[in-house]
Amino acid sequence: MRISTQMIQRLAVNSILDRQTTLSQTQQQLATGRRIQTPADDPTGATQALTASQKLGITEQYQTNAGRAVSRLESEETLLIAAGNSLQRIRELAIQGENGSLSQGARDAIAVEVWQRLDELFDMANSKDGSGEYLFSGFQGNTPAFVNAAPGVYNYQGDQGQRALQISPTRQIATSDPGSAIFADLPYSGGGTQNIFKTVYDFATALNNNTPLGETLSDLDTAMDKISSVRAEIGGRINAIDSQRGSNDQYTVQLKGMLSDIQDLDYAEAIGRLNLQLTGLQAAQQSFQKIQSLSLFNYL
Amino acid sequence: MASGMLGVGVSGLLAYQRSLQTVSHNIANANTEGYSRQRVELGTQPPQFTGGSYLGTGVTIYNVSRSYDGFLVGQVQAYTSSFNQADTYASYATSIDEMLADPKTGLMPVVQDFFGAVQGVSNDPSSLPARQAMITQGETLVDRFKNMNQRYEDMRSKVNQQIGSNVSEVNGLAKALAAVNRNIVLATGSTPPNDLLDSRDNLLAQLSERVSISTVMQDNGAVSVFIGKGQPLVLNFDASNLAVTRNSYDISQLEISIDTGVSGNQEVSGQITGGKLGALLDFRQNVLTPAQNSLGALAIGISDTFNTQHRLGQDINGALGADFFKTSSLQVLPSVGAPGAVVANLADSKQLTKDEYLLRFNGGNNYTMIRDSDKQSFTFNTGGASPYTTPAVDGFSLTITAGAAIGDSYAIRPGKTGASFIDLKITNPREVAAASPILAQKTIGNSGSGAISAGAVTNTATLPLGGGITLTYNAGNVLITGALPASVPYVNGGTILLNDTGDGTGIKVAISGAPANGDTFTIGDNTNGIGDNRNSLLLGKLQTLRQLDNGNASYDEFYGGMVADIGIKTNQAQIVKESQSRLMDQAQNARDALSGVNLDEEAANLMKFQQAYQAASQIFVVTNTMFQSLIAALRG
Repeated sequence: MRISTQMIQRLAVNSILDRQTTLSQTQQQLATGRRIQTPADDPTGATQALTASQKLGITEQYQTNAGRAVSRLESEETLLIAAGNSLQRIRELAIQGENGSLSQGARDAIAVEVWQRLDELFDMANSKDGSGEYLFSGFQGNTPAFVNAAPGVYNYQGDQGQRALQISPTRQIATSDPGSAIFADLPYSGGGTQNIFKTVYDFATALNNNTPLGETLSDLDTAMDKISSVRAEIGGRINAIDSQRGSNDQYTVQLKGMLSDIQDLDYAEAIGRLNLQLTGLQAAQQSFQKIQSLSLFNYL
Repeated sequence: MASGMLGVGVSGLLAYQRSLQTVSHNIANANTEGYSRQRVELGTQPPQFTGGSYLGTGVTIYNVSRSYDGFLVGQVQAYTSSFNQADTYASYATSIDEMLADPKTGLMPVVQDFFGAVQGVSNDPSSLPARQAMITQGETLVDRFKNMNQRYEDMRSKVNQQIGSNVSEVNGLAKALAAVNRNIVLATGSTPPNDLLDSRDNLLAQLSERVSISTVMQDNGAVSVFIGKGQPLVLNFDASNLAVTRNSYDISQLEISIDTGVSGNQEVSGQITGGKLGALLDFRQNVLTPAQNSLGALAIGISDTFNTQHRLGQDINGALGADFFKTSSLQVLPSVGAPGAVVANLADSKQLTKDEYLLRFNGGNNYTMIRDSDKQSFTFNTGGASPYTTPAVDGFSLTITAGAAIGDSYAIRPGKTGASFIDLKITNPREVAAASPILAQKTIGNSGSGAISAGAVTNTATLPLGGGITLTYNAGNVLITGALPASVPYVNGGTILLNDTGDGTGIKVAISGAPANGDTFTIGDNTNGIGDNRNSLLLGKLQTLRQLDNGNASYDEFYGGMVADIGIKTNQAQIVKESQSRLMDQAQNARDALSGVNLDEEAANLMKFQQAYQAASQIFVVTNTMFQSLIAALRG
């Protein structure tokens, strides 16, 4: 085939340009560490990467939520432990106070502590969380859970709302318990329901009146059982969150691996490619220079 | 005899002088674009009959010809068109592709941030800073939609501008071709005007870069050029004029028309293929418009579905949720002169697509709407009603007011402005509807173990509840006061739908466990429920819910589909560009193999003709010597 001088030039220049283009692509990949520079490089991969990084973002959000849920549940648990301890102490005082041989003075002395413990318990039920909301008021965060409306009258002012947080696409976990279920809506030994504050109030009043009540102990046990069962439930929720966190972590690792597979560069391969392309470019440049220097006009 | 030799010598000198000049011309034009190397074609002069034999009388120049093959040149032109089309198309598609992929300009990071802020509200529903963060991230999301849309609009105006400059270049080239045609016809005699022919080929190649052409060689040597479906651009010595005109629906969109002289401008945008112009039109129709419509459909989808859930909630002031976003209206553009009697309404944002539609009034009460992508047609009969609202198609309905004339048409582009007119409706963080408007509770003192679910609101028509709803368990039934129905059989954990508005929406609760006879449950308004995050949890879940594309795609999947679509188109465009580039190179090489100048070949010819010239000049020396010998003999 006949070759024109322009063609020799063009072929050589084109091949140098082509090599420079691929070289620059490899350089770009090495500089960013990413195999896919734009979706056009690998449309399917790019879409998968998009979905995976979205899922990664959401999963990270779930982990944040889970952390938040655990800290809420733990502060609730701490309060319930303290409330349980108070009740435990009141129960001990009840056992002492119901001892038939006690004098009025001794009962009054016990009553002093019972009154204090009642205040303590009442304050615990009206605790606030980190953002200043009442923990045990259900959704009524601005309203104290219980109000002492009149001597011996303790009303629940909250509602039965239970806040939840999303810790996986399909899983919501309750992060609060309404005070009514813990302190107020408890079976009463005499039938109907009791309110723990009223029970303790009645007990303290009875001590002051020197007429200890037989049923106090069993009512206190009911309340303590309730607190234990809510604590067990909270523990169960924390466990569930922990296990969800574990699987979220696993999913995160899996997603990161998948993302890396899709879009990360195989450096060894890319560096090898870069070297090969550099050699190719050099060869193209050198051969161009050699061929260009050949001309019959040199011999005229 | 001697005069004969002199004549032969002179003919040789002349022939080789011309040959050397032609070789020099070739050398000089070795790098001229489109130059075809030339050759002096030599032949013997007619012989002289002297007595019994013919005597040669020297050499003559038949012709100066160019090495040329019309087929090869035509191939170069055709591949130049295809390459330039692929090149322009790929470069425009790549710029969209890069915008979508870049986390700084893409949509997904801001969607993620926005829903992160929604989760932030769930984590702390009474916190005004958390609510403010959700509004701020909402603004960022809205801004990103607008920025991306602005990039599309910028690209639209760039396409307009490029159409304008290419059209004026085509007009310039057409005029130049008509002039060259005239010169060629005038110059064509016994020998062809080689350099003029080359320059015409060059003009045709430049024209091919801009638009695909077909050429017809006339008998007189002129070439006629046609574009599109046979619209004449150059006929003999006359050039037609392309004009840039406005789209008859959308005046911001430029189209290409050809001035037919007789019947005025005729729009040919749809028929133009190849070259940069073909690429611009193709890109606008098949990449830019679908991409912009998709983005708009997504903006409408996100804002509308989010609003729907937001309206089912309750803000911190205790009011029912309002719209969080402002959703764009759907674009309807009447053709020139048609009355603005058609309005498109959003019926179901989840079904909206990137498609465009054309509605035409056929007279009477009949309208036909044609979907652009598959040409599916939908017919509507208003039955004489005005205004008349059509059944919903692809997520929208049309309200048609009488007044159109037969043939009036309307371009309907549901997604077109979606991303430019999305806005934030809410500015006050207290108005974020994080809570649910209802509160379901079991009555303290119930003796059974029955529990009631938190309840879900799917329709707020009967809210606020005011007096509240009481559900009383009685012997296998749940008796209801304050809402409808009056009673339902008790199913453990079964959903009870209250205040059904006729479409299966209302208030949903479920009672589970073993309630005792007389146990009651209440559903009331959620007053002061500032710690309630139930609706923000539902809003958060929208991020992963498959709602769009008829329930097949979540927000990110819808966007992912759009990215994949553009990515595939760009990828294909780049591959086509590569292959067209190879084909163009091959065609150019084939043409150059025949017509291109090879300097070594010319150097060899230079030597050959120089030697021949020197030899011819020796004829005069010999003739002179012969003559001197003869004179000397006569003297002697």
